[in-house]
Amino acid sequence: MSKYSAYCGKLLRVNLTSGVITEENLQDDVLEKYIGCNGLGAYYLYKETPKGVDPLGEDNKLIFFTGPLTGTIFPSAPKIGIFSKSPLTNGFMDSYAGGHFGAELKFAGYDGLIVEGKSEKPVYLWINDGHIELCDASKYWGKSTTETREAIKKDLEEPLIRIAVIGPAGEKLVNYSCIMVDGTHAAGRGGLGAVMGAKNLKAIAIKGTKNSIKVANKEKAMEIVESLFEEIRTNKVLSTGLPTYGTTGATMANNSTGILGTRNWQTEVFENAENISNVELADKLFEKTLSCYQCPVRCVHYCKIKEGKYSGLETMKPQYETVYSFGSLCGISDPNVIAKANHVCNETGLDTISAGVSIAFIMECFEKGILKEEDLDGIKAEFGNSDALIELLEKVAAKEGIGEFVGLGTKIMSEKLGQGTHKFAINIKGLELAGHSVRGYKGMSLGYAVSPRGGSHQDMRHIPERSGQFDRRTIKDKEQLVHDIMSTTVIRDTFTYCAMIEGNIGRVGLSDKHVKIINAICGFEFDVEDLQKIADRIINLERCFNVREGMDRKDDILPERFMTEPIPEGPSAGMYTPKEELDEMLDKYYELRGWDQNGVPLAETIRNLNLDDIVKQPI
Amino acid sequence: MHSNQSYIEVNVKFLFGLEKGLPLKNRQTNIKISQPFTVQHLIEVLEKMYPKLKENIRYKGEFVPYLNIVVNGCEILPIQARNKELREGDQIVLMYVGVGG
Repeated sequence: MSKYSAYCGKLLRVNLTSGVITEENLQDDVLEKYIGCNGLGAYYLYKETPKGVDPLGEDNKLIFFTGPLTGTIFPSAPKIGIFSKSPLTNGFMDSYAGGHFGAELKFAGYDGLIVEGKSEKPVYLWINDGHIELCDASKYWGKSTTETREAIKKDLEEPLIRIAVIGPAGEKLVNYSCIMVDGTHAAGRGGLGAVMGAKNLKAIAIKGTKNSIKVANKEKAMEIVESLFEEIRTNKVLSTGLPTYGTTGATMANNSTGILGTRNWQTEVFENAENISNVELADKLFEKTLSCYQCPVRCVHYCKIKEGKYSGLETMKPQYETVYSFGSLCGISDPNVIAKANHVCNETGLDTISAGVSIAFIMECFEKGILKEEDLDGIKAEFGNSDALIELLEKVAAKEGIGEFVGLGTKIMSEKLGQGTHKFAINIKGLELAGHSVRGYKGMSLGYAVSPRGGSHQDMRHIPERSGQFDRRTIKDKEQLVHDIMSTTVIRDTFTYCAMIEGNIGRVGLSDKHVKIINAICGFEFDVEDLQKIADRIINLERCFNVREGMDRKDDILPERFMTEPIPEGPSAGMYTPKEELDEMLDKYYELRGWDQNGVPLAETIRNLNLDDIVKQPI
Repeated sequence: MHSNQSYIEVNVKFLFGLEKGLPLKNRQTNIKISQPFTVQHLIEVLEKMYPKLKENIRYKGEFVPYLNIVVNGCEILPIQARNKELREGDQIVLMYVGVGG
């Protein structure tokens, strides 16, 4: 048992090679250094994987962690974090999913789960409160995520259990396959589905009914919770915008300022953006809202395609990142097609961002004559060709024909193709770019470049520049902005509250609000300085992981398009981030972080952050 | 400058749910405003035209902190609205800052 509240104090370890399942206590000194989810995921991944570990090999680990807020009365904190070395980037990867899986894991008595080794045959893990079992999953292998989930529920006669599952794409080790959680949420990024597939682990099913989660200071916690509920209730974005549109409001918002990735980022103004706007998607597709555990926001929606080729399909309504990746980025302006593409990804287990960006890359290769119909199994991969999009996606998921190549992701595809295609391979550290402009925000340029994951919008956030609070057109002081925002996002993912409410707690820098929350919930006695040190520790540990795997300054680089081609039109015309600007920002950022000029944390930094117990020098 | 002009006409677009309940075509309107030619004055005129807008952009009389005002592609903070000058033909977007993904 931990002396701190809100934890179960236990970790489940499952060795798939030997079939041995053990429980371990979480140590209080580790909690004091890393708190939860993101912190603990980074700690265990660094500590337990050898340098140069093969992401799809037996020695890689797949780590699941909840945060201290998960399963408590705190609103909008449902996330489960999943950690591993990525087959897409060969670096540190964390991806988070909402739903109820995280809370259920805690109700079953565990803060986290470490999966190691590799099963000889397909299995699934059944966590039934305190009883843990590895079950044969041979009959589910090859099935879609929904088919698998429903079949497991039926076979166990447990209709209400929570399940994380991979689809055929994960089984076939597609580089950007994902893990679908509770059917409606994805731990999408970085190919964690392939890591799970490589272990022959089809699913994890959880029933948690026995364990209750206690908070340290009920009175203070209630005060915080009530105030947060009131803020959510009176905030139009959270109380009206997200329940009506999900995150798709960003489509027109970005287009109106000329920063909506279009046709593989050749431009950032999409002439048909109105057709895929939040209003159009709501009008054409919306059916009903869904909620994650203890979340009043309800940003997830079911939809039904009511017209056209895919009429009658009931599925999840796409969110903004998917509207960007399959919509404007591929030149597609039909919401029904975007919903169908989203459905293919959810069912086969593919990351919609990497899939869309990879197909947009193929479309630009086709446009430039680098790839022809005969290279693409007869597919005429023109921008705007809806059938080509769906056909390519299905081939990627099945790893069939040209799909095997597209499933490698843009970095490897461009390395194999040559012919200057690296200039428009839109990835950072191998991870395809999310739907927030590099060229349109100087701070995002730096944030993307130094993000441990690469092209993720969840380490650096665009809103402080987007709102006008910080000038998005200048590099001045952006090293500090990135430092401060990344401190809050790593603490967000460590506490495990959702990005949708991060604005209510604080986006730029840590504050008393963060401290009050964690102290009231867990019983820590942190101050802001303590919390900053923890954020710095986790960020540095992730950096050390990447350095250990061979990354350094050379990998803190942007796609060449964004460093050489200004945005050609629209309100942000002329903006880009030349290499010299990026270098200037990197120099300042490295200095601020205590890293050398090559982006490697200094020995002194490692010592000051008390990381020298697990980070050995030279890294 | 336009100090002698009585009116200027600008285009205003409403996005990310701000358009909800407003009698607009294509989520936008062209509007003539008298002096002072500032964003603050424009919003006051719009609030009179569309009372629902006031509910959407203010809380306890103040602009909500997540209101995003964009003039010709450049973001300005609500606090800067009073002094931000407008010119004939300017394009203004009023929207919420949303998280996106």
